[in-house]
This record gives sequence, C-alpha cells and structure tokens, in this order.
Amino acid sequence: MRRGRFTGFNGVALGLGLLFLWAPLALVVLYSFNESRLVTLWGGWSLRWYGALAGNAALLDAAFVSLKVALGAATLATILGTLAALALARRGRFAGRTAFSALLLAPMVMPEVVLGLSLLLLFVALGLDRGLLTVILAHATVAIPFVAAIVGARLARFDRDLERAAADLGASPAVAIGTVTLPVAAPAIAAAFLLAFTLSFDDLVIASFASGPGATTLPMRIYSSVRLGVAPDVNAAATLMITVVILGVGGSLLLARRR
Amino acid sequence: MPFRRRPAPVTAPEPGPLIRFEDVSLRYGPVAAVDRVSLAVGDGEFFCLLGPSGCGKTSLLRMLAGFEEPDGGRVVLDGRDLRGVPPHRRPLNMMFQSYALFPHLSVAENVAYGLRRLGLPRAERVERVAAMLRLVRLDQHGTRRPDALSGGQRQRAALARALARAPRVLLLDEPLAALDRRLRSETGRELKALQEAVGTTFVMVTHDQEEAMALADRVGIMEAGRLVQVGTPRVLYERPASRFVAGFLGDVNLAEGRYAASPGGWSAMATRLRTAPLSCPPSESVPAGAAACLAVRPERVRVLAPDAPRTENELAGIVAAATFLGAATRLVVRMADGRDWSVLVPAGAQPVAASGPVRLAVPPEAIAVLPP
Repeated sequence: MRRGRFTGFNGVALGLGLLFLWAPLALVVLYSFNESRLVTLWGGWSLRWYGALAGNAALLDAAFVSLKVALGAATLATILGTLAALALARRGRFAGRTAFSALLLAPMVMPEVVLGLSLLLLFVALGLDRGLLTVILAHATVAIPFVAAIVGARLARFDRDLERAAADLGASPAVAIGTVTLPVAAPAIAAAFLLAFTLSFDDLVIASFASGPGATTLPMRIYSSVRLGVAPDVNAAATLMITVVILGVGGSLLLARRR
Repeated sequence: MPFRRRPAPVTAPEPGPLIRFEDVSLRYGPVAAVDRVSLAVGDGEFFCLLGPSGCGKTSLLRMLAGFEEPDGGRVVLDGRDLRGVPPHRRPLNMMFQSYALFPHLSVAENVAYGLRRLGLPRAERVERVAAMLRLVRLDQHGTRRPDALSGGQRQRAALARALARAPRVLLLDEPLAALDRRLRSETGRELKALQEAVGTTFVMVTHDQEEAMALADRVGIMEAGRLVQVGTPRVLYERPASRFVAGFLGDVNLAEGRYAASPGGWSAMATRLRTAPLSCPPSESVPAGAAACLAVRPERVRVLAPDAPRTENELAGIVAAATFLGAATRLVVRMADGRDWSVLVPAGAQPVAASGPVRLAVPPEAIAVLPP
C-alpha cells in the first residue's frame, strides 16, 4: 500500500476519531482524581476517592467476584476454545466441519441480550442455582469463539513439518500436540486467555442475566450504584478497571504478535 | 557410542536389501505421483533419489517415513511390511528440508527429544546428546535456540537430532538445498564422511545431480513418477539408459540413427553424421535394426590435429564458437547432421581455432546407444 502524506485533513480526522473514542474515558480518569465531592465540579487534584474506594466493602467484594469470574471463565474458555481450534485445524475434513466452524464463531455476533436471556432460560431449565458458577459458565460461552479464532489463526500458519518431525522422532499424535504444537502456539494461547479474561471482566449484560445473589460483579455493582447518583469513588473504580482492561488487551496484542 | 565403523564400499556390491519398494504407487486424484516403483536399498548404503521437482522422489521418501500410505504395492523395511505402521513406530528418522527444528527448545533439547520418547534414563540421554553434538561440532552451542544458529549450524543440529536415535535408516529431504553454494560442497563432504563413520543407511532426495553424484553410492533417477534407472554414479553417467537420464546428468551430444549389431562383437550406428556407420559398443536396450540415439559426453570427444592420421570414428565439423572456461575450452561444433555438439578441450591440449573446420574423433567405448 502507498504511504500517503500526513496532511492537515488526516490530522484533523485522526484527532476527531481519537477524541470521540477516548474523551469519555479521559473524563472518568480525570474526575477520579477530583478533590470535590460533586462529580461535575473540578475541585483540584486528590487521591481521596481511591482512599474511599479502599473502604467501600461492597465495591471491593464485587471486584473480587469479577476477578474470580474472569479467571474461571478465561481458563475454561481457553481450554475449550483451544481444543475446538485444534479439532478444526488438525482433524482434516471431517463430516460437518464447515457447520462446526460456523457454529463455533456465531456467538461472536449474537446480540448479548439474546445470549444472556437464553443462558438464563437454560440455567433455570437445568435447575442450576444462579451464582458464581453460572456467571463463569456464561462468560466462558461468550469467550470461546474469540479463543478459537485467535488460536486457530496461529495453527493455520503453523509449520506442519514440526509435527511431522515430532512423529518421526517417536511422538504419538497426542504427545506431539502436547510437546510441540501447544508449546509453539503458547503465545497465541496466552493472548487468547488475556482477551477472554478482559471480555469477562468488563461484561455487564450477560452477567446481569446469569448472576444470582452473592455473585455481583464489579460492572454490575458500578451500574447499580450509578443509578442512585454517581459517587466519586465509582470513578476511581472505573479508572482501575480501565487500567486492568488496557493491560489485558495490550498484553494480549503483544503476545499475539510474537511468533 | 554404538556406532559401527565400516569402510566405505568402493563400488556398490549387490547389497542385501534393507528397504524394498515393491510395485509402489501413490495417487493424488487422477495423477500418479509415484507409478509402480520397485527398488531395493542395501544395508549401510548411501542411496540417492534424483529427479526434477514433481517427479515423485519426495513422495517415495514420505511413504518410507510413514507420512503417506501407498495406494498400491508394499514398502518393506528389514523384512517387515510397513503398511499401517504410523511414523512414530518406524525405526527410521528423517532430516527435513526446512530442518523443522523445534523453535521453543534449545539445540540440546531438540537432540534429546527423540531420546525422551525412547524413555532412556537421564544420565544416558545426557551422554548421548553430548556425543551427538560433538559429532556435528555443535558442543559449544547446545544451549542456544535454533533461531540463534547459522544456516549450516541448523543443518547440523537437524542431522544430530535425526541420528540421535541410531535409526536403521536416515532419510534426508534435500539436505543441502537451504545452504549457500560455498557451504554446500563442504557440508556435503561432511555428510558423506559422517555416513561412512556411523554406517547408517542414508536415503537422500535431491534435484541436484552434482550433489547426488558426489555423495551417493547408488543413484535412482526418477521421471514423472517412475524410476527410470538405478546405478552407481559412474554407470549412470557413462551408460545412461535413456536420453532423459543422459541429459539430466550433465551435457550430452546426441545423434539419431539406426542400430546394427554384428555377431562379431562390435556394433554400429548409421547416422547422418557421416556416410559410414560409427562403431559402438553393443546396446542392452535397443534391438538390432531398430531406430536408436547415440550419446557422447562433451569431454569424450577428441579434437584431432589437422595433420593427424585417420582415426576410427572420425567426424568432421565446423567450429562455431569457443569459450575459455579455465580448466577447459568449450567448443560449439556444427556437425554434418545440422546439430551443434559441445566439445570440451582440456587446458594444455593443442589449441583449436575459434572458427573453421575441425576433425573430431569419438572413441567407440565413449558412445552410448539409447532408445530414440
């Protein structure tokens, strides 16, 4: 592709785009350092609300729940998504391969409300009490297609001679996958894990359907507290969430770029 | 080290077959990649499959390794039919063209990989890895990752990994193709010396005829899925069975004609090179009285001095061009049948004019009579 000159128009367009994307977030971060009790009034720099956050047991509990949910869901999704990607990339042309591939990736574009509702119906039908476990299961469901896509992309450009060499050196197919395929694909798998973690950590809609008493996640807690008026310590919690998500996605991108 | 030292076979005797391909075919859809190939390779032999790309030589190798199953025929190793035996249960190892070194493991761990699968005790494994690395002169680089090695070092690491399990047969898929030209001949000599030292049967695949001739005890030439001739490099070069083999193994001068066998021993070829037939050795592949093709290597054609006495199989031609190559001068000579022959005049021989008529002589034993 030809590299165009950086013209004034391009600069303005880029600036507007970035402003549109990042201004709201920048505002939250800025106001999390606000001395004033009133959310919309600037009262000078302060770490006061981070201190208040440390004393807000409900928010801290919710953050802890979110962490547990995200770890559980990401682990589950990484295992299942990687297995699905291996099946698609390595089993050759089995019957229903195309259908399987489409079914695997479809939830990516499914409306979250529909997904949440159907999961709720499923849990009720199964008689599964809604709580930590159901949120983990629901988030894993959402994250599996992303994991399968990322790991699948890595496996698609995998040098098959590496697996042949492993077989040639005495490794059975299962051993070859364990000692060569998965270790070589490890950066992509780790990237998929981080993305799954982030997807779970910032999800509100699915969690609202799948969660029950005692399993309120951080986004749920923030959302409900904002309905009663924006408390400044929520800004601090939001800023911390942004940090976690940026670290997660950034790490995921860095890992995925490694060979 | 359990390496058997044995002298290199000077000529290839009729070897006791370790590997046998019996009427083996492999099809990709309607195309036969390998077409009814039968071949025996002896224990301790350095065998080379040679042919242009797409001739089926790599498919043959992959059937031996177990990455492809033949559609017809049998592959037998050490008296055992290999059908249905998966690659990881075959007592042979392969060196891949891309080397296929595991990027997440160090060189030593790469070499140890096959030994781990054997379940060798740790001490024995460490000792064996060290010995293999010494063998390929990589003992200083055991802790490095493959991507920190040079091309030649990677090639040797792949060799050490493939030899570590002391396989019955080592398969080499274009082992020198990824190296630059200067490194290639040096590495080739090392490979040959290594094969003689360890005594393992080597089966190599290459498209480079110089490589095949320099390394192999015997060469099998493939064309379009078929094995067209098997023999020592010398036999293939001097007694090719077809025009394809003759042309694939270096330059050759050809002339069409009719072959006549005499009961007295000598045979003759009537060609349009001169009115009288040319004496030639008896042909194994052409029946008496049939159309045939005469082949002579450029270095076997002699240039006669203008005042030399009449010689057997003398031909007249006109020099069209002369190129000085250092060790020899290459003449392009227009022959009586209208074809251009290439004639190599060694340095130190009587100089030849770069144009004008020239007297040539072809010793009868330098002629190969081939099917047309």
